[in-house]
Amino acid sequence: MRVEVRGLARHYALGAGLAARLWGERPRSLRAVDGVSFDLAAGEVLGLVGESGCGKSTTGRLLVGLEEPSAGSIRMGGEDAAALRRRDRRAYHRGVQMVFQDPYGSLNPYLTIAEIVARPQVYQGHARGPDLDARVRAALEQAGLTPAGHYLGRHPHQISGGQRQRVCIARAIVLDPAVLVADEPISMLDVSIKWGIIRLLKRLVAERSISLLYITHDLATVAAICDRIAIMYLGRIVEIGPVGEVLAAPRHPYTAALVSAIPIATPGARRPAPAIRGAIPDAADIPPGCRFAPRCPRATDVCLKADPAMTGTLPWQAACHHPRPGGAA
Amino acid sequence: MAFLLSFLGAVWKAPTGRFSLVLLALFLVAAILGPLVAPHDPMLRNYGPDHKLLRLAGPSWDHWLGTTLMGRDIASQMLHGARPALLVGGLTAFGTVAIGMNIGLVAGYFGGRTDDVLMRITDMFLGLPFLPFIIIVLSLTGRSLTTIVVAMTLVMWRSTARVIRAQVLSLREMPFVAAARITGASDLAIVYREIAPNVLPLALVNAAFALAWAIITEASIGFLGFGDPNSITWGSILYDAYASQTMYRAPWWVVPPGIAIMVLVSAVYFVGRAYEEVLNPRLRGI
Repeated sequence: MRVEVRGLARHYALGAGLAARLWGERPRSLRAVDGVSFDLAAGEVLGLVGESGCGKSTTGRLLVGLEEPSAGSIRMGGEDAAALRRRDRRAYHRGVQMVFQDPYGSLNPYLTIAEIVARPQVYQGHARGPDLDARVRAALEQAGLTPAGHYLGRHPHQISGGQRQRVCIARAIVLDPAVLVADEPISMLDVSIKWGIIRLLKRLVAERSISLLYITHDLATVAAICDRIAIMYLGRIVEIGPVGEVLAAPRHPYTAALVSAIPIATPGARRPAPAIRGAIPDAADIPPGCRFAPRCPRATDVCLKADPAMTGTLPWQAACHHPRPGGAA
Repeated sequence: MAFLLSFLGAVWKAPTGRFSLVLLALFLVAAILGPLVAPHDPMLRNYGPDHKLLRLAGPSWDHWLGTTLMGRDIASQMLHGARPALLVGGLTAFGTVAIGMNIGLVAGYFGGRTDDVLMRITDMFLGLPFLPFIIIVLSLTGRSLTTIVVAMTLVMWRSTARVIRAQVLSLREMPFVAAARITGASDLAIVYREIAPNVLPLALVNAAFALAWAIITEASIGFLGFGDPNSITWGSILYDAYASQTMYRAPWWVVPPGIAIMVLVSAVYFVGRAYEEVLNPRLRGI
């Protein structure tokens, strides 16, 4: 299903202290997501990359309906997501599923694997019975847990981390969703297991033409699974484009800094590292002008005053006053 | 049912738990069969071969634990007392956990205004003095086992509610709750099908402690003379012995109910404790 996100924002109101209010300060808000726009086609994988706290997980939670947007819109197959949820919440959730980061906390410890994968169908109103059991088995085998019968009666603590994440994926695909959000699905797994999960996600996307939003902070694995990549910084997408091109010649200085931080497997090898200073600013106190300007090696006066718009022609755009020359801009 | 079996299995693993379960089973048998196998009518005044009332007769073949000042058979009274003890304890524990668990689940999960209102009500009940409240309720509504159960439940659910709420506050932030929500689960389904199974072990531990506490309280009420006048309880046996001022002359009258209460309460407490140890590895002393 085609997902169109336009100007999506999620602000959290921060209560101002009494003293601050007496001074006449307005209550502040934390802008976790602050104007995010992207498209996601059926069968496409978009990688959403950024540091901790940049709003990438919140974007995913907005997509699946765990959070309500403060502004902007999400359209699923041309229809407004908020309206779809109001009309039929269950039907919306049937179409949009999520795989969580923590394979330990996202499985209920007191249920068996069979119950965990059956629950989504029960909550959707399917009657218990042989059909439901068959779909549970099919989902587990699709997720690479074969033979499914071996896992049905077990509890989450009796299987490994990688197997748990496969159970999470089975639970997400048992309703046959058109859109899947994977929030750092491999960050808590062993290296040896990560690639298996990535291959599994790629196969599911190809076989079921799922639209996958793949959230991660790990650029090294992004190229292996994503078609396109969106770099997020402080609640905004700063660069979006085809994964190969963006990583090869990033236009935005922030993307360049991230790329230069990817480890190289050759001892002693170094990348030319653009200097990036300081830490990510407080999302409750976003600087005027370009959000990245205070840390940017290319920043000039205009960067501190004017907020740059997305420039460049699709599919490759960046929000920078002084984009790096690398690309075909 | 499966859960009860896993509960018993967990308790059985610890030696104290196993011993306590066996003791509890014996008390349960006494509660069920006691009145049937009691050698005498507990209220019957027994006469000796010389046709005189058997006042304060020591233990003998005919009266295993001796007789009371009124010549009543103490062993039979003890056997009759097991049933109200377990019944009152069990019903109070059930009521306590049923109310406390639901209040805790709803307050913890929904939070906000709901939480505020429910927790202020809980605080109000926390302010009630335990035994005086029960005695006042009993004197207002009449003394019966039912009112004792109701009065005890009213002052005991409060701590269970707080403990369960605290647990729910952390559970509701778990990703598996979010996972249930995005598959279309209603709030009710999340509370009772996803979160409740996770607090059930804690609720069972609370139930065991409530059971022990209720048995002690019921005995205290009986001893203070506020018990159900129509039933024989261990507390009322103690009360009779105390009121007749023969406690030193007839130890066979006061020792059996005292020991029975102590052993039963310890057994219930150790069952709860054994289960708690299984739940909480820190208590295992590793």
